[in-house]
Amino acid sequence: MSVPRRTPTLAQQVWLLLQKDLRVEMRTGEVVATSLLFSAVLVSLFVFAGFSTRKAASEGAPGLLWMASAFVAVLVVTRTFEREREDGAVTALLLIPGASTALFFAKLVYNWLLLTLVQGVLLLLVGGVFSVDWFAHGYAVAVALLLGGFGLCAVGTTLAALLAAMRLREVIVPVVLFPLCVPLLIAGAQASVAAIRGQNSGAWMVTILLFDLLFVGLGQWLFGLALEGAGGGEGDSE
Amino acid sequence: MMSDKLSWMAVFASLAVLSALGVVFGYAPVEASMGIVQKIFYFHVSSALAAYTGFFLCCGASIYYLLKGDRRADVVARAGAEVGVLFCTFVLISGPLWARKAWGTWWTGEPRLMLTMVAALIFYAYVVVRSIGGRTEITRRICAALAILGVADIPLVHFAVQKWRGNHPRVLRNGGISDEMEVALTAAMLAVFSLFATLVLLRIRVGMAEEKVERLHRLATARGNDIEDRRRSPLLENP
Repeated sequence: MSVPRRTPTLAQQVWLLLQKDLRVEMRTGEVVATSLLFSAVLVSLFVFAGFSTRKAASEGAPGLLWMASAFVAVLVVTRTFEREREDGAVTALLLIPGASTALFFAKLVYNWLLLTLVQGVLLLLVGGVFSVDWFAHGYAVAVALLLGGFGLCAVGTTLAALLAAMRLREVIVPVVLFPLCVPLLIAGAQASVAAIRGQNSGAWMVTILLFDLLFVGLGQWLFGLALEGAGGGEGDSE
Repeated sequence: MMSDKLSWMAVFASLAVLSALGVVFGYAPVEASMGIVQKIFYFHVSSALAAYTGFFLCCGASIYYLLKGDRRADVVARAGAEVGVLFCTFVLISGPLWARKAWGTWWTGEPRLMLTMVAALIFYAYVVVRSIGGRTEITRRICAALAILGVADIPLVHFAVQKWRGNHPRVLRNGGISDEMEVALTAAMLAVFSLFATLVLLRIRVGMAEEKVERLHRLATARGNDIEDRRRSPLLENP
């Protein structure tokens, strides 16, 4: 009580926030359960839409895998701040000076972990339905999914925070997220195509990495700026 | 005074558009293989440039707004985005009309086509968020962020689609047009850009007037809500 405690470092802050979210998720399983169910429904829709019975169905499998990832990412990220908003915890979080960076990275990593888990299941489902052996020539598909998922979550977390107060945000988030992620989806699908054919997917991986770096940087900056309104002080033209 | 200048600009833009039409149809030769449809090219290319100018204007003004909080920058950003979207829509309509004749198909997976489509989608979303969000400080900040994300995305989209596929006619870089066509293209550029500038300035004027009305309204009702509003984070708002 008497001695003021040392301010935790950024990594410690991120870890604390991440732990809190993971603990809640492990106790309720809400996001994981619904996302997994959604993936199963989605893959069954691909089957009923006739994708799996076409000639050269496996050619289209990487594209569908990435499309499904993008859908699941929307499902995961739109709920990023739901719990905090419901219970008013976000007020307390935003009161901590400089906490927005930690909050951004904690939410980003949290979303990424959940998305990665679901992507793993998607990989199995899509691979099974389309008879694709993703790992016939190494693990490039998994690397692409991990890196690409991070980029999807970087954009998604930023948008979830920005649009948290927006009416119709369940529609607005995908409407903004998908166009922004077009380069990522192209690069991811092409990297996966190259990977299952045993070709070099290095250039596409670099594209994904560039996307990740750009949007983690921009996202972190805009997240803080938009939440705290750094420029909103006396400079305003009143 | 300002309205006078703008009226003259509007008159100039109208004359420029009319004379560009004259030059395009009266002076420039009919292209051998594509025929009359090729005339779309002059306005298509100029409008594409105008659309991207609008988007970059929006992004620049948005950065300024986020850093300085100057409402006038926000008005400029909004004008750039809205007029940019208008020209981008024209590009996306005129492009397929031309492609149908030149390539025999309305739509292909061609890089610049896909790039423009993605840019249009991003800025359509910007305009939608603007109108759904209403005139609040949070919406202004959200839209500024969206504009920055969108424009930062454009080079990446360009790179990805370029690497993926490519066969857009590289007319300008290869010097594939005659002198008369070049004159027509210059005329069309001048026309489209004067129209673009007029529309942007008009939209800015409307935006400034809206700001003024809002300020007066606030003074009249003396609620001072905006000061409170500015301090809030989107996470704390109720949808």
